Formats: sequence, structure tokens, C-alpha cells
Amino acid sequence: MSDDPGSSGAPPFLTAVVRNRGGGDVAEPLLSLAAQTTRDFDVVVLVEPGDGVVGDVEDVVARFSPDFSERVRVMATAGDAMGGALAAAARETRSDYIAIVDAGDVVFAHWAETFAAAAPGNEGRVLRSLVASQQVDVATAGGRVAYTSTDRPRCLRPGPFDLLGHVDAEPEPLLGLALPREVLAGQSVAPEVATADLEDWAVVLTAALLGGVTETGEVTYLHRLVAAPPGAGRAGDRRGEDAWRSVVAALGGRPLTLPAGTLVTLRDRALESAALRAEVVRLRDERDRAREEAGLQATARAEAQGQLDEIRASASWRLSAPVRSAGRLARGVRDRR
Amino acid sequence: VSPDVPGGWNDEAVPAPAAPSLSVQTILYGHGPDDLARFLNGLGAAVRVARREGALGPVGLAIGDCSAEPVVPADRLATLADQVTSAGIGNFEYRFFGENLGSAGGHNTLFRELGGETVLIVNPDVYAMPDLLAPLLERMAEPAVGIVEARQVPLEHPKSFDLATGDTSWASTACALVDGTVLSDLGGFDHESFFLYCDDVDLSWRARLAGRRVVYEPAACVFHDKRLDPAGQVVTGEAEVYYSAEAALMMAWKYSRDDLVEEWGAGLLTTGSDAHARAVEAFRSRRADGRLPEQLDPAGDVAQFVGYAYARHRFAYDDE
Repeated sequence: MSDDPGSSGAPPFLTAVVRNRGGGDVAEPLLSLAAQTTRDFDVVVLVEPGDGVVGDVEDVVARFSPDFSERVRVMATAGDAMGGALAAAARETRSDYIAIVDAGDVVFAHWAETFAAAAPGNEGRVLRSLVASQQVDVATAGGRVAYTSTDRPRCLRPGPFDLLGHVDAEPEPLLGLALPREVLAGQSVAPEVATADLEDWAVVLTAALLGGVTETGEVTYLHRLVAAPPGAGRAGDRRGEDAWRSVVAALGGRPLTLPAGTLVTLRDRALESAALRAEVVRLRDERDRAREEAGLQATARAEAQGQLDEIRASASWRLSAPVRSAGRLARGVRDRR
Repeated sequence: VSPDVPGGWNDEAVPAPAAPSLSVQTILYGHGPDDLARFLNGLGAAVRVARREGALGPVGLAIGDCSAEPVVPADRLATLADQVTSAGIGNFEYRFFGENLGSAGGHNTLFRELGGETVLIVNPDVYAMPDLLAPLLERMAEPAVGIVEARQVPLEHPKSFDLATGDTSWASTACALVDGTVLSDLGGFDHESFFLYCDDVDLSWRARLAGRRVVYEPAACVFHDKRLDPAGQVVTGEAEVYYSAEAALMMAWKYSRDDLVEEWGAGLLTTGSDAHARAVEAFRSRRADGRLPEQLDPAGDVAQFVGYAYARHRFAYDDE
């Protein structure tokens, strides 16, 4: 692996793709990339189309040292979804791996070096580092706008990659992962994927299933939350739900690599599922018995009410009314003494 | 990586006539040529941008080397000087000290020999944002400001600061702009008391006792190579544990908090690590030998001891 891709003409090991979704800040992500401990990577900044946006970002890039800025390209997404642009960027670069840095986020100085150290012997596999997140506000000291952190950083998913959790409960963020370039360039991601968060979910799922995941154990990425964190992506979104099913269906027709431990997890979940199904059956039986009992009690109550109504409507009950009134009066006088 | 840098930066070499001059000081200890090259790339871009905006006059760079062996061998000095010159930095000094003076001692030596109207004290593991210098210099021009601290990423210091004025308890000299008169009037850092940590807290508090303001400028940004472990804690080495504990006791003593000297000393001995215990012993040895500094700020006008911190913090990096 060369540490100086420019001098040898060899492609760099890694391409950092900076996603400028929503016009977020790119200066600080670029600063953190310029400060990396290795130069064996290049950078593609993907920006959404807009008046002067590309030029503005190019101006930001040009302010950095030529040692860094000469390794940075700015590409417009040309109205495509960001996932499509990501695939286009992947086809343009010649690096082995691609890793995402979102606008507003920053990476630690050993981000690229950590991936480079983990890659040998793990070709084709996803390289996973840990992501910390931190709440930040926008400060305006001196009339200038800048971030300022308001809480300590915390690791989002400190444990190992959980494929099944990613599928059904807790999606793994795309951030912190280096993906084999061919996964993105080969358009393995289903084109039906339309929402941004689902794009990420599908990319992670696809890459992890095709090649597996290698853990680095290092915290190399800081995800900064300026506002409420983005949702998981597919809940409550009909279009997202359909796309999710499409991705699963597409991947379901392919031979896939499952990480070690998956079979045990699947067995445990199957046992748990069977136990839950048995519990559901038991609860339904209990419910049915309760309903039946309630029905019997209602019938008995109705019969008793009918008999009472018959008594009150009878001639003897009406004729004896004065006697019952005199009795109540006598009890009242006695009770007041 | 060779410290060679692509040329073509000389188009901004002519300083603006009325712009302030700047002396940049950094201290090496065990760093490599790649570290220095990276540092210079960031600094060079910041000088070029500030120069182009007319915010910056002549710039000098002084590198002090406390390493056991020179980071820059004699046969590479000319190349390094070319790199510095191509970044628009007119004066360049590289001093191999031949001993570890510590950060504070190294900076004092450089300033004593070279001086400076405005001094950027900066760590070599810092990479400057291209827009770093103009906001720092603008802040320094405000009345009574003596020290201006830059914001660090990825891990920002949690000290609180006044959002309107930037005023804060103290400034980290991982990257801070210091008025040269602050350094000369105060005799620089107290390197006798603070070898590695809290030299900047002490300098800040003495500056404030002398009527100068210490301000934080979040728009001036640098990358500082600090890291997190999987538990979300800032990675620290054994030396940091020892010297920060020793410095804490020295701060409590120097700023007339004998109660904290006793409390912290006892706490470090009973619940701390071996490094903490050695720090307490070192402090007590200095006290027994009469080698502690003169006590200041008896009324607590400036000094802030909040828990184990020297300012109110917006948050803590650990879960204390």
C-alpha cells in the first residue's frame, strides 16, 4: 500500500465520500480529512444541485493546502437520489474501499489509517469502525456561526455488527463503515430504494450480506446531532415500506454470506418465536373462556331481571303497595327515636 | 511522507501594510517528520488565506524540539525552510533543545529568544482550518483581550463561555493566540510549577488578574488529534494521568486553596492509581523542600475550582 498515491499513479486505498445532504457544513468534515495520519485516500464531495452550490463547495476546498485539495473532487448529484450519485461516484474512483462522511460530521485522525490496517486479508468485506454521536448547538459568538457541543460523545453501537438487528429492529448506520467499492459501483442496491435513510439501510445490508463484516474496534467517526436525530427510515412510511420489501426480496434471491453466530441467533430467535406463539395461543384460550363465562353470567342476569319485572307487574304486588308504605313509615319513626 | 510541499503559494507572500504580524510557536517531543509536514500544511493554508484577506502581516515560525533526537535532521533543514517559506512564512527558526524542557519551558525559551507582537501557541498535533487566523486576530483587537482560544474538533473542550463576548475562565494553548505583552509582562508560562499540564490555566488566570480578558472564539477552528475509546472516554496516557494530577495540586496551592490541596491529595492517595500516588508524593516533596510557587488570588477573584475542573463545564467527558 502506498502512502502517496499521487506520486506512484496507483489508485488510493480509500475514497471518502462527503455527502452534502441538506446543504450542511462541509468545511469541518474536510478539515478532519485533511488532518488524517495517512494520505492514501481521495475525496469526493457530493452536493445536491442548487444555484452556485458546487462553486461554493469548490471554494471551500480550494482554501485547504494543495497537498489535500488536489485529492478532492466535487460532484453534483444532478437531481438523482443521493444513492444513485453514490454509485456514480463509486464507478468513477479506482480505490478499493469507499466510506461515507456526512456534512456536519467529523472523523478522528486515524479514521483512514484504521481502515487501511484492517483491510489486508479481508478483501471484499465491510470494514467497521465505531461511531460516536454528540449533541451540538450553533453558536454565534462574535457574529460568526460555529458549532459548539452540549453533551459528551457516546458510542452509538459499541458492540459488534448485528446483522439480524439491522434487518428487523435497530438499523446500523452507514457511517463508520468502509465498503468494498464494487458493492456500490455494481449497483447492488435495489433501484426502488428512494428514501435517504432506507438507502443507507439497504447499502449496509447488501454489503454485509455479500462479503461479511470485519471489526476494527476503533472509534473513528463523530456524528454530530444539531437537531433531532433522523428516524430509522422505514417505520410509518408506505413508500419506504414497499422499498424495504423490494430490497429484502432482491437479496432473498441471492446466495449470501452470513456472519459467524448467525445460525445460533436464528435458532434462539426461532425458539423464542415458538414460545411467544404458544403464549399467544394460551392467552387467546384464556380470553375465549373469559368471554364464555361472561356470556353465561349475562344470560343469568337477564333471566333474573325478567323474573323481577314479572313480580313487579303482578296484581298482588300492586295491591300490597299501601302495606309496604306503612311499613317503611313505621321503620322511619322507630329509627329517629 | 516527505516534508516537501507542492509550491505555488508565493502569490500571497506580500503582506498587507497595516495587518498585524504573527509569531507561531510549537514544541515537538517524539513527533515524526510526517507529523510536522501535516502541521505545516495546515498552518501554511491558514497563513495564505489570512494573507489573501488582508488580515495578516509578516509571519514567523519557531519550532522547539524537546525530543531525544532531532525530528528534523540537519540535512533536511533546508528543505523544511523551503516548505515554510513557500507557505508565506518569512522567518523560520528550528531549535533542538537537547533536553525535554516540557511544553511550557520550550515555549518560554522560544519567546525569550525570538519575541513576538502576537504569538500563536499551538500543538504540533493540530491541523489549522484555513479560516483560523482572521477570527482570532479580530478577537485579539477587542479591548483588553490578552488571550484568544480556538475551538477544537473533533473533541471540543467543554468549558463554558459567554456566548456574546466569548469570555471564559481560561484558554487551552493547544491553539491560542496570545498578546506578546502578556507573555513578556507575566514572564511567560510558569514552567517551574507546570511541566506539562495547567500551564495554560495558570497563564490565563495570571492574565486575568492583570486585567486582561481571556476569550474563546468558536469560529476559529482547528483539528486536534484527540481520540475516544469504545466507552466514549477520551484516550489518555500514563504521563497525562501523572502530570495532570501533579498540576491539579499545584493549581490548588498557587491559587490559595489549601483546603483543596489537602482534600485532593487525600483523595488521590485513597482512590487514585499508582501514578496519582506518585504525583501526590512529588508535590509533598516540593512543599517540604520549599519549592512551591508564591500563592496568588487569595480572595478567589479569578480562580475557579469546579469539581476537578478550572471552569464550569457544559458537560463532562466522563460520567462523573
